[in-house]
Amino acid sequence: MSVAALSPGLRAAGERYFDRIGHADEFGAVDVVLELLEAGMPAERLLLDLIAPAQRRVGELWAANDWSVAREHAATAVSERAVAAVVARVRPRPHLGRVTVACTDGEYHALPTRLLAEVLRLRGWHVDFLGASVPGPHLITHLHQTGPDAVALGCALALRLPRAHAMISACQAVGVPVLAGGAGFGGDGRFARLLGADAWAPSADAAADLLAEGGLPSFPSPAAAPAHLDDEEYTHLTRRRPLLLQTAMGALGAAFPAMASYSPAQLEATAEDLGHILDFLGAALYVDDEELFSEFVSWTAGVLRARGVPQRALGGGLRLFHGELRDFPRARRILQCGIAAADGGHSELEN
Amino acid sequence: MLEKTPLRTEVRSCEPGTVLLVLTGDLDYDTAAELVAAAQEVLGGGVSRLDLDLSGLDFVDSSGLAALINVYNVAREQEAGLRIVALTSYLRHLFQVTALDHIFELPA
Amino acid sequence: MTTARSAGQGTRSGGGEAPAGLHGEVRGGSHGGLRAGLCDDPPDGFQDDAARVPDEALLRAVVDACGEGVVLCDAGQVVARNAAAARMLPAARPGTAAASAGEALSDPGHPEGESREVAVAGRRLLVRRESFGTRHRAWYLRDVTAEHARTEALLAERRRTGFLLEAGRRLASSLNPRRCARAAVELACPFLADAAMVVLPPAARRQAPWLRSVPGRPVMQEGVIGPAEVAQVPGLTEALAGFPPVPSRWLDPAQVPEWLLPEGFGVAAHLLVTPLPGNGVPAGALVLARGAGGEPFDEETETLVRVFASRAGAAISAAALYQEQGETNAILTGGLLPPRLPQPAGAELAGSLRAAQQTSLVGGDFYDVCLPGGEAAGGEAGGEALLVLGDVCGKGARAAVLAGQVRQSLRALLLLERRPGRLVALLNRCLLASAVPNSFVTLVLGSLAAAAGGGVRLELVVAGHPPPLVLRADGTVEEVASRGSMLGAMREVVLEPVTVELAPAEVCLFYSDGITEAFGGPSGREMYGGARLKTALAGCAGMPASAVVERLEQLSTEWLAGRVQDDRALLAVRAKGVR
Repeated sequence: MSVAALSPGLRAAGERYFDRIGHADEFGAVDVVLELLEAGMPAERLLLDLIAPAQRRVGELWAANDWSVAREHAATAVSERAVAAVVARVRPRPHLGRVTVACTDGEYHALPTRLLAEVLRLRGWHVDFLGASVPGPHLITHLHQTGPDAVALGCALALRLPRAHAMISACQAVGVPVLAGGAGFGGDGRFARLLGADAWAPSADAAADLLAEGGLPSFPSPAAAPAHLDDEEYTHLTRRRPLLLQTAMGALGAAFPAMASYSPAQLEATAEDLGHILDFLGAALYVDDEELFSEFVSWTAGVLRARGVPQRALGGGLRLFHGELRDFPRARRILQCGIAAADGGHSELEN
Repeated sequence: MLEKTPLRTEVRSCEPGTVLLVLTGDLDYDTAAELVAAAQEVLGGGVSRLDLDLSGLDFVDSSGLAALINVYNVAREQEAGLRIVALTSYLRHLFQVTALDHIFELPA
Repeated sequence: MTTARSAGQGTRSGGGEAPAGLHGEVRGGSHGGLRAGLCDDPPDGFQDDAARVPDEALLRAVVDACGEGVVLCDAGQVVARNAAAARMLPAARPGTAAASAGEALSDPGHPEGESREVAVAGRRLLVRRESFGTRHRAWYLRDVTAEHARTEALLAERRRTGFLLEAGRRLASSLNPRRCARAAVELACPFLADAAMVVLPPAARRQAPWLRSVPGRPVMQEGVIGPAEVAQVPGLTEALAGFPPVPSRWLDPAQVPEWLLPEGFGVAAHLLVTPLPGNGVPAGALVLARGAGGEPFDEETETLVRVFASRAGAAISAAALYQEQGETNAILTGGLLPPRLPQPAGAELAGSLRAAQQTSLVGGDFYDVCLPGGEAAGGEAGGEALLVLGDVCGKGARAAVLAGQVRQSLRALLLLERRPGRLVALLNRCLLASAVPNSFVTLVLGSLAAAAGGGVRLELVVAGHPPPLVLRADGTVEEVASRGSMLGAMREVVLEPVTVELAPAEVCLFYSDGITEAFGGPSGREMYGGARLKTALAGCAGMPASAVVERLEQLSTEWLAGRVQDDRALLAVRAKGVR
């Protein structure tokens, strides 16, 4: 059966597959992919054209509050099993070099990175996949022990960029070039370049092509740290995080009297949300990118809207931080863009 | 890294033959040996009873508990009595979880 | 015809009113002599002032004494030259065409008055042209052969220093022998040779691994060769044995076997085989080849290769030592790593272990699962599986060793006793008998069996450890009501065995205090605590065991926000539904 003839079938199979993972039906989902594999669908296409799009839909449904966290995790766990089932049937002998594939420290969205690992294996690389949230020291020990030709580092959330930077630098310091990938590095890979990665690829197959073409230097030449980090705003923001959160919670309580009736769990959830905003602000500061922060604010606004949380809360939180961070000119500039995004494009703030 | 409070041990003599050891700070992997050393010194001096005030301890981990067991064993060897005269509710919970409340004499 | 300016220039270069016929090669006459050339039509006042005009012999002497060569041309013909010019450019004889002296006296398009460098018969000349009117040109020549050689030597020295610096930087970065060998061949080719290969000492089955870099190709070539192939390469056997300890360049490149060189390399014209000296034993050999037309390896290159080889050898042997220790370490700690979880009948298991010491994966927390009849009996064997999760006192490798001993002791004791309560009491006696001081352990141990009518039954013993949590089908979370003594501390232990039934999709979670006693959160100094763990577990209703464990680990990691202090272990048992 030709690949082209399978395409309409693939779409229908994709729906069936999505339905199975939505019901946490491991056997059903595995059956769908194995049938396609037996019908002649290449394993790589199954991974990238069936499983990956289904997982993207899972993320969207969670953001829209259509799916609970539990359902999202259950679906992802089933997809993990489906991936395992596919690659257990197709095991080419490694004939290319060795590549270590890892998720950034703190990064638990491991499936996209796992898919890259499996695609590289299918293409004939000797792959060591270290899994979700790999601590830097563990990765470096692994590099010394196995001596790979490259590291493929996955980062799904821009939140982890500071840690991704530390890992990129550490890999390069031991002479191994880094290929960066994942949504966290920006849709155009601009953060990968900024943080000195030796290469970036927008997708798993593009990454595999790039490695095959020798698109990575055999020895990295580490880039200098971005100049804007010299102002140390990121460092100070990280250090002041607990204090900022405490102040913000107090101010928020004064501004929203309804908070007085919050349960401890609700209060903690609010503090966590504020903490999340600060962490994203930190990431945006780290890469000096206002757009990164405004995109996060718009996305968060959508998530909150879907969950019926008043929009004022988000803008209010951002204004609080804007007021507190007087001696952080860059952070204030970034926050202002975030406030504009939260207000739907209109900022009422004067600098 | 979270800042730690150092362990402080204060020796007080209240009545003849009895020594009160007041502990404050963190009793953990890094400080457990200090407690054992302090207790050995006190018990080596030939006291008949050692009282421990643990109400000033902020944190105790498994190494800290191990140190307390060691103190208990040293006291038994020296045929001295060992009492815990004060402790926090968190510590009481820890003693219960590990069933150490069966061997240590705890305040009511 | 001639301007005052040109006359002035002529004066500067030793001209002025001068008799014709410099250097004896130019015969007399008013045209063709130096004086004539420079002052065809001298301005008024010069020729009349006889006292200021030196005679021709003096002028000749002055011009000949000048170290700079001067060649004078008239309409493309050489008309005169001084002694220096005759030495530097013998071909530029007066009466011949300037162009016949080669590029030295021919520079179409090159700006007047600007110097350029040309190579003439082994010399380097700095040449500058000046025009005098439309017909006359003077070429000024300076011999810079010696200067040039000094500069070249300096640059070559600088290149060698730069090469060694780069070599140091690259070789020092890795602790992996293959990466070090790769760096060595990539550095050596093309700087030292047209093809470079590192052959590492023979390893398993006397096979010697090799790496070869091919100019212009991104992927490194690698392979292994046996003793027979090694013997085919002149000098390689000796170099791998570390003798002689210097590059052997008196090797016959004609004897090089074809496989040694990259495809399409052609014939090797020059071959250099150098041992890579290591820590007492050779770290391998470096084979360098230069193709047809390449220069032979000279004395200086050989010295450089020797220095380079010693650095590469030191790096490779240090890396090999690290590798060996790493492998030994991996064997020793292999039994301490979390096991691959089997899938006992009717249940689904998932575990996670995060060591506080991030370079190693081992610590004081551990979990293990033993199937009845051992692993060989396979996953779906009947009978009861034994699950354990525990925490030994202490941290790091020391704690990991004790954790490994506990796991081994349990496996051995299992042969004698399968009832959880008695098993744990026996383990306590083992620990008390241990030679290692402070062999204190807390753990949860459960015996798992499929229950009649679906679901599973867990017989649990809690020994000084936080009791497990149970996630019910309705989303509520209970703590198992049992407690007992920490092990290894007292002769008599108090235990309260308890039975927990799990209906399909219900989960029992074992965890270590590294999870609940994690300090972090919004303030950075708050303890995660049991209540948060219960809430988090309640949010996992409906997830497979692997997702439950991953979610809880993720929440804990986020709570810590990088402040890792203690080992963290999770083990979840989920009763399978009926399919």
